Amino acid sequence: MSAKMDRTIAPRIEKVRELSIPSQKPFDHIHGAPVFVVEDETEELTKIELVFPAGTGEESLPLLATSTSSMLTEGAGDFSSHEISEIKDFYGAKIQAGVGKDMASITLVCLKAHLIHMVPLLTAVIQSPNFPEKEFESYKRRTKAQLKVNLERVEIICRLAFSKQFFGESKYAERYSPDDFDKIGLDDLKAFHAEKYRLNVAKIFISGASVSEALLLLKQNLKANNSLVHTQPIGDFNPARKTNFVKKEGALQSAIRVGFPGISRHHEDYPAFYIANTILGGYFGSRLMQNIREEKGYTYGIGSSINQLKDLAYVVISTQVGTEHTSPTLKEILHEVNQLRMEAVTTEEMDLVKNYTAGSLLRNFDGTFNRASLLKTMLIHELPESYYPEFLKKIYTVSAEDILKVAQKYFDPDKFTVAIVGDSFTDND
Amino acid sequence: MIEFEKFVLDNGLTLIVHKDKNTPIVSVNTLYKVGARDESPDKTGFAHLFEHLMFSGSKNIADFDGPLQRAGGQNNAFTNNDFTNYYVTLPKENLDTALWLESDRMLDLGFSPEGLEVQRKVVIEEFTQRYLNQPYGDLWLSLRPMAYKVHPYQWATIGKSIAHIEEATMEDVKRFYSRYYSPSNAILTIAGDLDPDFILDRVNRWYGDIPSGNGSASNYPGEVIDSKNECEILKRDVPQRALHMAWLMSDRKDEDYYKFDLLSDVLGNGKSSRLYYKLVTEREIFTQVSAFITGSIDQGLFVVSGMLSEGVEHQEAREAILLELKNLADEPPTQRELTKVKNKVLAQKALSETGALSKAMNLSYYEMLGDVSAINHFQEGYQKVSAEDVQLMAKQLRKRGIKELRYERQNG
Repeated sequence: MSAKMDRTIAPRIEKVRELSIPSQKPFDHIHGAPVFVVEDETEELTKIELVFPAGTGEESLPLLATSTSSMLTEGAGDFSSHEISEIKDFYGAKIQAGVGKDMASITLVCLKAHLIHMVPLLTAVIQSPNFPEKEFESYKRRTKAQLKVNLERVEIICRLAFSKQFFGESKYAERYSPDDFDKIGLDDLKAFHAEKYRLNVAKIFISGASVSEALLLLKQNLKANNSLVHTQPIGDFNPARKTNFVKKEGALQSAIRVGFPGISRHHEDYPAFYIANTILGGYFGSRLMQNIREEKGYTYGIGSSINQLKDLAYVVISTQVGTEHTSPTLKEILHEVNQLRMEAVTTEEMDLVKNYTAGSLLRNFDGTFNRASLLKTMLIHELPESYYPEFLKKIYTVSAEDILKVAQKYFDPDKFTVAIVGDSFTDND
Repeated sequence: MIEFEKFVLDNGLTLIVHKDKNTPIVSVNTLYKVGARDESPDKTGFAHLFEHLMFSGSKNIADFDGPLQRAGGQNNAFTNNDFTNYYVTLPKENLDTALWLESDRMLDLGFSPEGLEVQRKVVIEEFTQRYLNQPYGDLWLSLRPMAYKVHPYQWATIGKSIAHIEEATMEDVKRFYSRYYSPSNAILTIAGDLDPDFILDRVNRWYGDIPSGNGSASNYPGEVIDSKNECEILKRDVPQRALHMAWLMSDRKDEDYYKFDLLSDVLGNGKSSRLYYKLVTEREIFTQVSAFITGSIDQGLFVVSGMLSEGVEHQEAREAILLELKNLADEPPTQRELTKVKNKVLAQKALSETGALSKAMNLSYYEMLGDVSAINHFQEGYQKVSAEDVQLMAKQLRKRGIKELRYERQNG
């Protein structure tokens, strides 16, 4: 055995210096849609993702965006709903539709050898959905039941309550109930699809193995279909700055959400803002986690996250705590926010969080599919290729003074929107 | 095909190294061969509570997370009925930090009484959040004791009840640690863009002087398979009736494991499967239904779970499931069905191995099962299965007792 190690001293730490950013130059175009590529021939899988401006913020009726997206695979072109699942399952492939607030995406993941069978199905699903009546009724029946189950969960009720308070009448508010399924018809889905799922507003990402083959197949199967796409204006965004309690009889835990407006990645304060959020609740060692989980044991987990939308950014602190800990937890959240606003962060904590953040950045480069996902984020949020390398440099220059400034400017309890859902809550303060 | 090298240190620690050039991150995965099945019936939930305590400081290091985060790292862990798995990812230049932290908590723990008190509370909140405050969250707390009468799989990883967590003592913690947390009971897997010889040298330096430990052979009583049906009704404040049916199947190493797995796929994996197509799409008896196996090392469970459509009675739902099972017992699946489920197994394996960390976890898992090289031969067990084998499993299940759990709405 080699020389004995001194276990009482931490090994020397290397800083993260370089990030190798995937190219933002389109590899090709298909009928106006730029195609971006992260190739890796050592992979067994190929992933194709098409992104459209068809998120929930773009819908004119509640549940329209998600219903349209889910119905794409319920019959398209010559394929019936059953044939689509049958072919997909036969090749062990995945075609997944996902909907965010701004964007909707459709992703195919399959073994590279199966591309030839799967791409025609993918393009039919995207461009020629049939929206059949019977399948739509079945979809509504199933999803309504699922929604009713979800609405029994305090974290979901809280998410909706928070959204209503915070986003108000703006396009980003999540306002839906099971009854809303009865208010949308197939014509609404068809119109939404016809306007939003168009190649001239799409972005295409291909990653993993056999990229050229995937590209060729897409070119052979996608048809030109342009439309004039209007994105919705944000609407009346004026968060209700108050605490709202929703009673859920018999709940053993309360769900809590505390939110406030944030800033975009393009803002000059962003690096300090990002670090401030990390210190508060952005990682396991964060102050909220240490105080409320690791010291008090009020919760299994608590976190604070920055959410970036096309037209606005916001921060949400969320947790679930035992009913009796509800009020004390709110008090501790406020305490930690005020600490961040009043007291300079120590050099030790600053160093730790900077290094941690750099390591997290590096994690985006872990493997082909993570790199493709980073590239997607950069292109959707219009971040230049230099963005992450510069962000890395800026992180290391953020000072404790900068943190105080951004905390005082943005982490302002007077601007907090608070939603609590549980069996009982008494505001002692 | 995943390339790897395997080493065994003098103290019995198994080291597996996978070189992955495609990442700046190194993944360090440590699997301890101890899970909830190794607990005594009056102290359940302990393996999992103990997992939390592994982060409360070790012999020479007061805090696990801080130094790791300072090196740009992240970590987490999970416990199941068979094993406990800890994983760290960090920039590859800082591998030593991960080895320093992981080896010190394998050498000796801090046993902080404050740590125990706080983690006890955290785990009670976890119990509440995941098992009690979710609709249908208590499923496995109820189904396990019906399916297992003698084997320790009769309790869930979180434990039988909150009382067991409340009663855990520091004495229990120490005994558990000295019995199970030693090099000979651990598998360390490291995946990243680093040379295997370099990794072996670093691991020898950090782990070489840790005393070997006794190892821990575990041998638990098998369940007697009989034909006795059991049914339990849970009245809960839930919006929808739910039905769960479980049968005892084989253990993980038995050849039948692959046959049962494929049977579950034909029956109920995906929208094109028989149960979904017949009972959700066509007959509208359920709004969701699926079949799966639990995949445990010892005797596992074959499970069918469904959410009932409005107005459908449990009896009708149950019979509909049993009819599909009977159809497969009467006639084997078609060749297309068989090819489909075999393809699916291959694709799912590839999907589960994107990224260095998932490869490291899978390598550890196969080594725990007995031989890491099986990771590259896993498909052989499936390829051998014929349509008649699947049919035979359906026949066998039909002779075995059904452990049935029905969720009924409290208010009508």
